[in-house]
Amino acid sequence: MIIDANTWIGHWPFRRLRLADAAGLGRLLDRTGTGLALVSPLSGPFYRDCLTAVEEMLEDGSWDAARFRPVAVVNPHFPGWEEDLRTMATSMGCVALRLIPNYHDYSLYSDEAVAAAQAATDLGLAVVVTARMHDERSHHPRMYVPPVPMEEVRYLMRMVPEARYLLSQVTFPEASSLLSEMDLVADAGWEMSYKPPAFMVERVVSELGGERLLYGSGAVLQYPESLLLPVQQAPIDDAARQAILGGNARRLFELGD
Amino acid sequence: MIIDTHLHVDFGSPDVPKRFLERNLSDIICISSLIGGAFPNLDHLRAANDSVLRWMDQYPGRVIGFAYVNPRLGEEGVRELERCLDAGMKGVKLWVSVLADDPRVDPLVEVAQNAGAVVLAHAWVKTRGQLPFESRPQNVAHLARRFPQTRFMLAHFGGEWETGAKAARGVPNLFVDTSGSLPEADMVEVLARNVGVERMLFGTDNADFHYCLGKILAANLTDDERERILCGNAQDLFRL
Repeated sequence: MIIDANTWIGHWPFRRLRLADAAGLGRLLDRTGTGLALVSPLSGPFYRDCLTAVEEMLEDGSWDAARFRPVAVVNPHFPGWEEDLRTMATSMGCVALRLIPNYHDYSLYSDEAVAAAQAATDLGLAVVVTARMHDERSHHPRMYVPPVPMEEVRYLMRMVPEARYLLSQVTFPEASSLLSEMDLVADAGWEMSYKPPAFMVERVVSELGGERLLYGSGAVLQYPESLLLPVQQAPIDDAARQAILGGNARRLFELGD
Repeated sequence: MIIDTHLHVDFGSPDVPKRFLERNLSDIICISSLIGGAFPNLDHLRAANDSVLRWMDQYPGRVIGFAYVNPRLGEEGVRELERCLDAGMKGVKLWVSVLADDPRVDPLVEVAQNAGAVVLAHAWVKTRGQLPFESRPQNVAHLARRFPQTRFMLAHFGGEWETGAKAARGVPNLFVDTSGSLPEADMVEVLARNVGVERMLFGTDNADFHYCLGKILAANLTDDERERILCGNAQDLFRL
């Protein structure tokens, strides 16, 4: 089964998206034959109270509980985040916590960030660290948000090594800089939705083994086919392909059979 | 058939264009070399263009050469361009040594026009890191309007693709290649709505081939429209 480790729904403030809601994501999953998607709220970076972002996402009338797995979002510098995270984990079915430190204006060096990763782990959630939301060159001129420095991610991984980490919307060089850290934590990987360089999939499989690479499309912000096709067409063995397309996500997020 | 209208040699991983050809990902590739960087001198240009000529020799019928130019070099640069077009190149690559609509570009465009060559112009709109002489799509559109008999290509959707789509709208001699930019949802459809499918050209700019192809396959287009973008328009443009 194809599992998309990085999808979003909701309102994106910087341009019109035609397939932005749950029904739209469903159509994109149909188009790509994707059986399961980890879904985060597009309002997550922007709302102060992130619980309301996840609530809003789940209240979409076309929410497909069979195919969508919600991802929690908290800003650990916002009051009440611990209780909110517990609610998202225990009552809303969230399978991971997404941290978006650059949009929430905090550092992963902060005690609160470490506490959030620990809390997520204690609740059985993976930790998704979001490096960026979109290409910095195209940011709104009044809303330029620098990417998360990988040194901060390294620190977080060292502080909470028992967590399971997914690096999200990172470049291949950024992910590569943390490969040694990935071996020191309970589990880790990165999803490939942001600018995979030419022949990356086969290179990763042959040089690193494919167990840390996850198919992630960045839908609804991106055409999912642009990320699926490189995996489907890469000259790699089928076991590696199936791992990237779903097996690694199933393992990392403990999604069960 | 697939024609990749925007690739570079001597840039980044040297394997990329070679593998595109040897794996038959693209049937034909359009290449330029950027040896010398943003402000090449004449020796740099000669080295860059000689490299492209060697590729054309090595892969006959599969490589279309674009001559790298530096409008700051005046008459010497014009002669270098003439050398390249006489040797069989079919395109001109404008990068970031001057803005596309700088008057120093004009003599080069005149040579291209006389030879029937296509002028590929880089453009981007960056929130941070805009290079000092890096064109925006509007600069390229302005140049294209000044030379209505010359055919131009706006590189990689114009970078910031919403700006590129609107800048290229209503400029019938300005084609747009689909290389380089991230595969943002709806970008292909928006470009098609603004410039028409017949002015769209597939390209990769050395990114992953399937990553770039995916958005063309995904977009809400007919099979004929997809074929036009992937090869038909380029076949017409380069008279293949």
